[in-house]
Amino acid sequence: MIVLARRLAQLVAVVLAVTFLAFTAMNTLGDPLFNVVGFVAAVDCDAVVAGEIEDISSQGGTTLGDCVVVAEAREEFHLNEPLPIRYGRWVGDLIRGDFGTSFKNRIPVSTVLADRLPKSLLLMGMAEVFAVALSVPWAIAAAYRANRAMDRASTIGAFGMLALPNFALGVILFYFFVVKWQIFPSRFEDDNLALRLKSLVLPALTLGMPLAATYFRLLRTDLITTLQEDFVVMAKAKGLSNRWIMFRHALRPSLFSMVTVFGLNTAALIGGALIVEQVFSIPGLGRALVEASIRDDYPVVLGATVVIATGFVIINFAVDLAYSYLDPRVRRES
Amino acid sequence: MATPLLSVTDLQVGFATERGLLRAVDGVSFDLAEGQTLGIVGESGSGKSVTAKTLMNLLPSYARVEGSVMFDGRDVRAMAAERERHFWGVEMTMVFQDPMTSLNPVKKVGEQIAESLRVHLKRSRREARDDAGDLLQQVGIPEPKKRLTQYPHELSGGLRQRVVIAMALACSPRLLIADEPTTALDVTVQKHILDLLDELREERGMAMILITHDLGVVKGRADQIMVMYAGRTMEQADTATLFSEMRHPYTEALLETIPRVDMASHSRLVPIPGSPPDAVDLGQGCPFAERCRYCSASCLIDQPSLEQHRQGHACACHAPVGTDAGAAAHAANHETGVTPAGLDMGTFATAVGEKT
Repeated sequence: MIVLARRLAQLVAVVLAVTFLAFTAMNTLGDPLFNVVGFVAAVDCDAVVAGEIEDISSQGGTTLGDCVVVAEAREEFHLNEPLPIRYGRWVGDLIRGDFGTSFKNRIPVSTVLADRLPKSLLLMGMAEVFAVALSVPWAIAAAYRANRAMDRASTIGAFGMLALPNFALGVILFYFFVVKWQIFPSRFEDDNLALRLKSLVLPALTLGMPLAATYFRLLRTDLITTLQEDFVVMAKAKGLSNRWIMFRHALRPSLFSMVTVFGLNTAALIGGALIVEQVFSIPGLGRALVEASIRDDYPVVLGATVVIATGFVIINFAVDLAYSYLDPRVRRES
Repeated sequence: MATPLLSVTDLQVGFATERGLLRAVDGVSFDLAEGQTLGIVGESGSGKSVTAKTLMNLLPSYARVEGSVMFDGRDVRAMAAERERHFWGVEMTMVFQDPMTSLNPVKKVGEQIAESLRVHLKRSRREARDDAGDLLQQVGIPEPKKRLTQYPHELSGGLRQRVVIAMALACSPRLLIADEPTTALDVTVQKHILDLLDELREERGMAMILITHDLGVVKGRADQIMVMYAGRTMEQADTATLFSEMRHPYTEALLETIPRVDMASHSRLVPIPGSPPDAVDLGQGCPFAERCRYCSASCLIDQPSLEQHRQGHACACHAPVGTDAGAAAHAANHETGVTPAGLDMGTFATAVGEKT
């Protein structure tokens, strides 16, 4: 219970810190109104409305009417108020479950998130399933044959997979499996779960392969270390088979580094798969976030930030739980 | 004597290194009868652990092994670990030096004992668990039922070594190899563990190889003793003979390094000068010559072979302790103050004054 409360406090602190930074940056570095009223916002409308500038023909064709729209929009989005108050207002809305409204098309941010997040989560999940399914057996096979031909070839292969950029791998897969052999659909199809899964296979592979290479490297190294431990020698002296020793003795204590990196990667994937989402035309959270950032659509950016920060905290909590499952000595300390 | 349980003949183990072949074990032979204890004594690097690992098939695949190892008429070296599922761990098992590291930190003690029973004796999970509790009882662990569900880090060093022993004994082996089983433990616990091993051996009629660097440990416990140095057998005899008619200077030197009850309470112990030789480059003489106060000129060029001067007592030395040759070599070295190998005889003077 105390652990849970501490986690919750941590979540609140992280979300507040991250969103405050994002809020400040989005409002000082860009002009949110640009999306609502177009280029007019660049004109010194305050002066126009106040009658200080009479001749607005020098202002690039902007009319008094445009400036009135700007003034109204400012009023509507509370842009006239000082930054801390606006941030406070945003937080207050958030607590009531209101993420605000996107500047683009005036869609509620919660609708955007509800539409985008499931797709991103599914993509993330599939990518991690592929990565783990590939890396664990691979690492086990290589650790048995440490420094022999298969192990060395694997290491080179893993570095290759890491070095190949995401978009390059994505484009290659896209070319063969979509364009040439037409096995997979060219864009995300949302009609039913089977179709959704099918259209996410290639993007998940694109994301999963470099992850698999990372996990492979970590697990292989840790397994080789564990296999030299005294308790493994003892297990051999007890006449246990290699398979028994691997799965019941060596694997579990070797998973630490992999689980740590797994957690960090998974959290990063929630909103960080934008390149792959772009290549495979998936309307995921990553793309929404990038598009919103470019348009200074800060309600969407902040909403996505809240989701991603929450994801980070939850996954980190899960990783800590995994630690205590993996090693009973951790359980004692916490 | 009937056919021995274990018979090792001319065992050689080498490892190829960048500098050449490292001879870890060089021509070791011994027989061990059912229910008997053999003590293998020597410093670090003397080849005693490698010998044990050879018997247990625990050497890395690049080790070069020659010689024969017969266990109850079966050729151990011809057995392949993956086929011979129920030999190691069942007929022959081993206890290691450090109980802190030889237990898996993430598995419950009970599971670690029970797994041998499940794998080798095909016990069910329940049966194996009950048997594991009985084994813990036998090795003198209080509240065995509770201990089964504990993790190794919840137990003390002494208890852990008892758990390791219980693990080794799970399938009632006929031979137990104990490699420095008490070195990592508190002095107060050492005797308990050694006595426990001895009791269990007695009860079960099991044979035991007790490996140690401490002659004192094997004194009352081993039937036979083999003293090893640089991979070779220096002296081999039954225990009583060895202690009463010790012949090899190395055995004598080893004995002087351990405190004895019959010595005056503040007598200084004599360390053996120098350190064991490089096993890659042993040269042609006796490997101990550099550190020996009985060293003569021939020791530096001619390696003494292991010879039986009488039934059951063999020694590899040109100038054995207690012989005329030995006395003469020692007197000559005392005269010049330095051995032919260049060792200052004064090194020995500090402790046992009358000897040098």
